[in-house]
Amino acid sequence: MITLTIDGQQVEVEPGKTILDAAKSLGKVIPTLCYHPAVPAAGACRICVVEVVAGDRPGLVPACAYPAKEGMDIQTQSDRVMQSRRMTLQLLLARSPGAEVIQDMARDHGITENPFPERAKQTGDKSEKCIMCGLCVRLCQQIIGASAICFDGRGPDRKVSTPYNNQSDVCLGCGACAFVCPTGAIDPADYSPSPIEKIPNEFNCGLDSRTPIHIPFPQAVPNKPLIDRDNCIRFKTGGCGACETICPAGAINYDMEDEFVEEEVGAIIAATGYEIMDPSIYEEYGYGRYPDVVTSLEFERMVSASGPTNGELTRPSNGEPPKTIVFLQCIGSRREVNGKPYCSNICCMYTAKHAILYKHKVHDGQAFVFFMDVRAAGKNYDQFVRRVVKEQIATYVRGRVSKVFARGDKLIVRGADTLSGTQVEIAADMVVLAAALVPSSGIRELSQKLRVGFDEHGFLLEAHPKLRPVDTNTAGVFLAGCCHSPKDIPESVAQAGAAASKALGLVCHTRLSREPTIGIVDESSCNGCFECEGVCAYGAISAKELKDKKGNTLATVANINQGLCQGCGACAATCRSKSIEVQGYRDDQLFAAINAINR
Amino acid sequence: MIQKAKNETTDPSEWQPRIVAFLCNWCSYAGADLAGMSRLAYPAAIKIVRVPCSGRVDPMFVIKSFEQGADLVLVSGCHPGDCHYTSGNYHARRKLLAFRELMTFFGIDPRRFKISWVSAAEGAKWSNLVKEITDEVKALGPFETYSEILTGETGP
Amino acid sequence: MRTLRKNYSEAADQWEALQTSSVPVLYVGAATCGRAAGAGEVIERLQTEIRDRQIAAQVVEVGCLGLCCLEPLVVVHKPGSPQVCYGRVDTDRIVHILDRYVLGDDPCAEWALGTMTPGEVDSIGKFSEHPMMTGQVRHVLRNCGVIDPKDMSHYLARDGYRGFMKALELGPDKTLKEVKKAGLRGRGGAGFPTWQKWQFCRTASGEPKYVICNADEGDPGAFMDRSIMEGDPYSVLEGMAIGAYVIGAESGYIYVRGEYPLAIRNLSIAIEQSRALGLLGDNILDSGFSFDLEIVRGAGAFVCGEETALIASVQGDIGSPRQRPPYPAQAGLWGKPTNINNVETWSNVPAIILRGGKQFSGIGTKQSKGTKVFSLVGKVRNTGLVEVPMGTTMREIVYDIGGGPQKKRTFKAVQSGGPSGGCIPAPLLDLPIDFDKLQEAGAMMGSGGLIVMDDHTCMVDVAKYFLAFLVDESCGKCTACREGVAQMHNILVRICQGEGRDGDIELLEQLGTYVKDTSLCQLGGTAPNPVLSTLRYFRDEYEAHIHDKTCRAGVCKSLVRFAIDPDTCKGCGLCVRDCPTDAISGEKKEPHHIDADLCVQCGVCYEDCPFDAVLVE
Repeated sequence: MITLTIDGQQVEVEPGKTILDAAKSLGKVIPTLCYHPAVPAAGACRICVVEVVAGDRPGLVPACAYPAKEGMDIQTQSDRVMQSRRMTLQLLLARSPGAEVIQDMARDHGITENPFPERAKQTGDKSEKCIMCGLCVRLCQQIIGASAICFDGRGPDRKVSTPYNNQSDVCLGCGACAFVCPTGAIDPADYSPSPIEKIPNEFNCGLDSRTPIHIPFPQAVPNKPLIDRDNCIRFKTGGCGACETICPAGAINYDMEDEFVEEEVGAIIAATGYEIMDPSIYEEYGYGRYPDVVTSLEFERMVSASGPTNGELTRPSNGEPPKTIVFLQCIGSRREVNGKPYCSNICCMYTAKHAILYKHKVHDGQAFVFFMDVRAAGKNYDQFVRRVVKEQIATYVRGRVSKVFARGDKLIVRGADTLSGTQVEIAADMVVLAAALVPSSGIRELSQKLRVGFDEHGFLLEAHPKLRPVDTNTAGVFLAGCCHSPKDIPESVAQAGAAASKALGLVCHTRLSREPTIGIVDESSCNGCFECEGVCAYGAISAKELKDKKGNTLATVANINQGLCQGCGACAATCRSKSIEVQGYRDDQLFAAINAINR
Repeated sequence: MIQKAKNETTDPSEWQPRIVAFLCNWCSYAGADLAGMSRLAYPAAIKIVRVPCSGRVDPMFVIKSFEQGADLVLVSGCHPGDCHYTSGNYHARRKLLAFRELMTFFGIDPRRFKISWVSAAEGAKWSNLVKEITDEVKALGPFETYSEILTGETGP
Repeated sequence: MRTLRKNYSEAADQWEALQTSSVPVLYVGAATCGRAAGAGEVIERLQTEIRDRQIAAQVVEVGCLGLCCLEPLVVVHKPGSPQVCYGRVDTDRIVHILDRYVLGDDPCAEWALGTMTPGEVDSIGKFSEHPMMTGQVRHVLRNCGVIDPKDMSHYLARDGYRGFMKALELGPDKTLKEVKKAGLRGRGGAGFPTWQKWQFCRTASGEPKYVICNADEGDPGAFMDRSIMEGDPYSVLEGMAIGAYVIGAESGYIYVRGEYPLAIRNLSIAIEQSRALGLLGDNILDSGFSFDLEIVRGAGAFVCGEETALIASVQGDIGSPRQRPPYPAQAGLWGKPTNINNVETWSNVPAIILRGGKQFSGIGTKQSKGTKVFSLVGKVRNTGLVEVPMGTTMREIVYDIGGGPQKKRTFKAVQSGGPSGGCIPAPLLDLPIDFDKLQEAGAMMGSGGLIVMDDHTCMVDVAKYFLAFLVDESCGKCTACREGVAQMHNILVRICQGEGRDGDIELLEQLGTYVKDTSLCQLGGTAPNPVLSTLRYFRDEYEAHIHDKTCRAGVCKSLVRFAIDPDTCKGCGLCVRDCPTDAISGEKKEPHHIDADLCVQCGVCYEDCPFDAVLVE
């Protein structure tokens, strides 16, 4: 360990650490610009200079790039340091008048006037932000490994550019340069010929973007970031690795693989939720064509405080608040042809809520709801909708919309008011589609894995619609929520509670009750051919040796494990010597049944 | 409910075919149940024997049914891939298709033996299926050959 | 170990044969400086004459003797007579010398500079007593202008590579001790003890190790290294081989600026010849030591003289310095221990080993040993390359060797150390030159450029000139140098345009101190020196520019008005002829007059006037 003194305080650091690292461990803040913990330091901007008083060559050195040495005595705030910093800032102010970071720093350092004329007077560009610190260039070369940007020219004419000033086809479009730029001077579009591919934030319905390292959604459990391998440069090119460098906990491990986790469980609850269908198949509503036509789920994210706009409701097309908004109900739901025949169950209620939320965000806005009929069957549900109508939070129009089209920057919603029998047209700023609920994609694969049936829409089947609405036909598998059918929150919670108690009821016993219908081997007639073993899907059949009292093996016969056997009877149908019978479905019983029904 | 369906469709003067159906417990039987619960009518000619799985159906059951006077035998299970017992319907399919070939060999019109897949959600499909095969068997007429074979050549 | 005895005796024979040739031999100084003055044409003419007239004579191209103001130089060996050196030999003169001296008996004493070898010719004095040669001690330049730089036998005959062979016998430890004993300090500028630098690299962990020769001589007006590489490339190779042997390096690079094609050619030839003789390559002379060299052409950046930038450039990266530590001795080329010395340092080494460190340390001052080569340029009569012992005073160089200021001008200052150096004013002329004394005076040894300035030189303009150079040559990496030097230059431009303001001097001082303090590398760290040292000694000139809006030297156009003193003007008309705007009028032999409206202050008349009748108002 190296011991050095910073501003009179002793600190120990590991060899190879810089003065900046040492200062950080003391909690001292040294301003930096061209420094990023993941990028090898260059000491280019000189804002981080500190004074070596003793223990090395005395003088100003850049804290970010200068290794800590034994016995060093460092001053981070001496007059010499502060004078140098002020001068650096004044020079940078002249160079890059548009850089707000520099303006703020200058203000913090008590700089009120600048003796140096702005270079902008020569270049005519007052918005210049680049301070030529080269962090982006170093990052692109040394971390990303792309070398898409470089310096062009030298001295005061130096600028960040691409090789030969052409857009660089080696640019990965990762946008890391813009991310690290201390002054926000970089628009990667200047460098990259292909559009910068933003990674859509799945949780926000793709309304904003996220980084390859992300926490899937707020309050995720566990609330820890993960690396999206498909978009991570480390996994794409083998470069970068910045996160590993930065992570103080050393928690980044690129060698981790997805793994299959096998757990023995006594019960499974399917609670895979729902998705909403893509309403762009209904061209009349213009979803996908007009940015201001959004789905209810997108609207939900837009008004959420943790959403893409931090809860500020704006039109995606121009960022203005929508003064008129139209909610369309039953988009795809209750639609026999080209849609879902069922009612999505929750849209009436959430639309009423959305109307209220809309009024919270846009006080002077006008909301309309086109509906077929309001299905507000639930405790206090109807009162809630009535309040929205009565308090004129939204105007409810009973009827369907035939077309949504653009006129100017407005969206014209043309529909029928079936109560007054007239056609109505509303010039809206935003249209929200209450698209039908569908089961999560992948539910069919899941249903096969669980051996649970599903209906024509993909919703998992309960064992009995009235008597066993939480069970499935597969013992030990239970349903909760929208994987079963469209449900609102209270219903889902209720079903989930029921499923949980069903599952607990199953697993809390020390002994399992089994179905009575299982296969039994007649050991006296079994000739041990083990055809049955091959057809058993559960591996329940094994060989059993019959022994006499002396221990001599008399015969080897099939044996059925009672716990594993599910009673399908495939073995019974296969057995040539008719030595296996399924209890309850014995041959003689079935023959009797056949005889009986033909009587 | 079968009774009710019968009342609706039966004309006492008409010959009524006799169809024996082996339905797996999880899909086809549930599908038939759903048809009932959904109040979907279908001909009463069909008599259902519930088996745990279509894989349980032994060809002997089919022969027994014909012997007992069935004009058509239907075996119905889960859709391939959806077997409650993972693979029972595959075993059934293999075994029963081979069996059908054998029927030609010993002189039974294979059209009198049907295999189908009906899921628990397909009440309507079940109803339609029964209507179809009833019409079909009506067109074929009573299955008298089998009793002739029996009486002529072998004892029951 | 092989001793190359046969090669040496052959070389000695060849050299002897040349020295005592029975046919005349004409040595033409054909280094870049000579060629610029027309040596190429002289050689061509000479060869044409010899061929056409079938004269039995031999022409040998040699390096530079250092008398640049007298180029092209030709040394004539006439059998039976001592060698005579002639100056300013153009194509006409060479024919005259051929006819009158080589073929005739007239030694052309009017063009002769002196005799080079014992014996007398007519009234021609000794070359070593030529004013420009007295006081010089030619150690490093011992072979320059004497040997054919493309003929290795010449070098071998003059004890070439004997130092290296002695080092191989001594072993690395004793060789290093010898260098330590010599007290050799780096000739590149900072004067870091060479043995210590070698020692660092030698003891540093990491393999392989590298040696690099810094031949990126970029200071305006400096050409010592070029002359050495052109005139005696072998000494550089030999020095590097010795250094590599001490350090334990097996490969080396010579980083030569691209503007030195002749140096690159001569070095390449020398490397090939040395390889052919087994003095470079694997298992040199069966000693077990392997070493080879490669030339890297610089791409034209002053900053590449800075060692970390040079290393970056060799590696193919942008020539930008990086923060030290780690120093190149720890992590240099390709991250391996690397020792960098400049051309003159390397070429000092062979003689130190051969003759012993003691002999070397016998020359010079207490802290600075040996000799130093300076390129003496500027407003001085004799310009050229001079090699003097450390401790020689500036006055001796400027006045004795340089012959003092031109015309009747008065000496003002000498700029030492190039753009990174500073000015030494007249009162400090008796300063003995060594590393530390110059540093104290606010200048530096630098690589050895001396630019003499007289009263027609404006010190503000000089500072502006050097800063403009540095603004151009700053790599732009760090804020301090990129922005700071540019802003200092801005201020100087303003001052020179007559727009200087109160506080500018203080701002320059502040900014200068800041740039010195805060810059990443030594380019920035020394960049303010031209301003700070002129401010130190010539503050009054700055004040005059700012407050009185005058430039006494008559250089800063915006601050100058020229007038003709009717009392002194003789009406010669020289100024009328040269004035680009026809602003000067007057009858012959009558005092002339300048029309202030037409005058653009170009200063041609001011420089022209043989009577100093043009005045600065």
